[in-house]
This record gives sequence, structure tokens and C-alpha cells, in this order.
Amino acid sequence: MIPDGSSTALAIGGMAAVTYLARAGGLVIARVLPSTPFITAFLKHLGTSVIVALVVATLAKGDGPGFLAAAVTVAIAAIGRPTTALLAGMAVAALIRAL
Amino acid sequence: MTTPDVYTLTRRGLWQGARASVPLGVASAVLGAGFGVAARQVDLALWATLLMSGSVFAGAAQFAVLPLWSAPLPLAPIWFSTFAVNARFALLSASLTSWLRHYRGATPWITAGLLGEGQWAIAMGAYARGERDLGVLVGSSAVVWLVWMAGTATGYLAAPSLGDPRRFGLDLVLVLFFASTLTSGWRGPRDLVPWGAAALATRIPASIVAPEWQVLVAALVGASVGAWRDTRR
Repeated sequence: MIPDGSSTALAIGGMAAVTYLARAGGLVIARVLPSTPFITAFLKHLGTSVIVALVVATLAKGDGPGFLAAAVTVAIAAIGRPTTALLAGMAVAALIRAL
Repeated sequence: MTTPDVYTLTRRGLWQGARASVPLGVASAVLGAGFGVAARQVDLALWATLLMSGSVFAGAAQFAVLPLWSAPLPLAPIWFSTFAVNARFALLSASLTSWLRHYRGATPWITAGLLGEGQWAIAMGAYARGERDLGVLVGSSAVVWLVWMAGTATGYLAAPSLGDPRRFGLDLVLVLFFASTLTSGWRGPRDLVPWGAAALATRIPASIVAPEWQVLVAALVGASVGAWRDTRR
């Protein structure tokens, strides 16, 4: 059954609220954390760790060509061509799937 | 940059962030279209689809709740799943605190509210070059939000005429973009330790870490291992 408008709005409003809580929560947490050398180094590594984890987790869930496409993308991005890298990665995935 | 401690938010920065976001914007528009198609398949109304993309603005979480979308809506599971998938944003905003704390009033709270991995990577690239203009992050976020909305609407309206996006590798577009940002976050072979730890930690079985928390836990493991390595004597 299709949910009515008010419960749909309520559900989406709640999603927006918890998402904002997550986005802003990091500022609150980082402000109350003591600034020890460990915490400073920890915060420095956080962002890239999120991206590495997100990329690996997403690719592992998908079908085969994801990792090869990502390897091609990273290799081309490393020589300073981000847009070419993106297109080449997609082309690799499309090609393998077409075979 | 000779005076690295002047923290600004200028129109020039906004424009710089917007221009730097072209590849990211293309990726976001494509994924937004994918979300529009998927939302229409579960009979989410157009207004609700746009409301969700506009207010939640987080692709992974939005896709994750669609299978739950039938009456009566399971509110607690929808909200819990959204929070779990998006809790990783707290890590991104925490890592930006040394920059954002130099701004007064609502600026840090609005900026954090628009965060995503792509904008974060673009802004951190500028920060690493010594730039301290928050406009880069805000401008990038604004562009991503706009194309995400435009993509959502286009995908929703054009859904019946679109083929399988997988055929062109379009389903991979955003994850490939994120992978490409890692080349600018790379500070040398020493990064292999935290990155390898984060990658390995995504393989923790679902019986120990539920899938919704996978990315958050793996990122915490990676950052902890990196910090431990950096600070041990």
C-alpha cells in the first residue's frame, strides 16, 4: 500500500533530523574531545578513512568489475586527470559487463 | 599562502568551490537520477522524492530506506537505518573542526549540515594547499545540492524511458569519484597503514557489525590505527 502524505512527510522529516544530527554532531564531539596528540592524529585520519571504507564497502557489495574500474580510476586520477579517470573507470565497468 | 591564519568566506571562494565541483557534480547528478528512478519504482510521490533529496541529501541512506517504503511506514527502522548509514558524516565534520571553529554564529552549523564526502575532499584539497576560504566548501556543497535535486527530478520524470544504468557503468559513478579523491588525500606510503586497516575492517562479518554501521566502524578503525601509528614511540 502507498503511505499517505502526512506519514510520508513525518518519515522524511525524521530522516532529515537524524541526518542533521549526524552532520552537526561531529562538531560537538570534536569540541569536547581533549586535544591530545592521539586525538589530533585521529581527526587527521578520519576523513580519508571514511572515504576508503565507503569505497571498499560499496565495491564489495557490487558485482565484479567495480574494483578493476576503481583501480583504473585511481591510476588515472593519480596523474592529475580526474574527469578522464571517472569516464575511464565507467567505461571499464561497462565493457566488462558487456562481455 | 603567506598568511595561513586568515579565515575567510568569500564570493571568490564560493566560485572556486563551484568550479572545482564539476566532476563531482556530474557524478551527483547521475546518482540523483538513479535515486529518482528508484523512488518512482516504490511509488514515492514526486514531492516526497524531492523533499527527501533536498532535506536528507545523502544518497546511500536514501537508497537504503526505499525497500521499507510501504504503508504503514516503519518509522523507527527508517530513522534508525538513516542515522546508522549517515553517522559517518559526524566523522567528516569532526575532522573539519580545526577549520570551522574559526567561524562565528550559524556558519559552522550550516556548513556542516551540507557535508558530503565529495565536498569534503574538495575542501580538504584547498585546506592542504594552505587556503582558508570556507567558501570553497560552501560553494561546492551548493553545486552538489542543486545538481542532486535536478538529477532526482530528471530521473523521476524520465524513469520510464531510461534503460538499465548499469549498462553504462553509471551505477558506479559516485563511488569511482570518491576513489579518485583518494589520490589528492594521499600523503605518502605511510597512509597505507590506516587505509589498509579501514579497508580490512569493512570485511568484519555482519554478525559482529550490522551492515548499516559497516562504514562508520571501518573508518573509526582506520583512523585509530593511523593515530596509534603516528603517536607511538
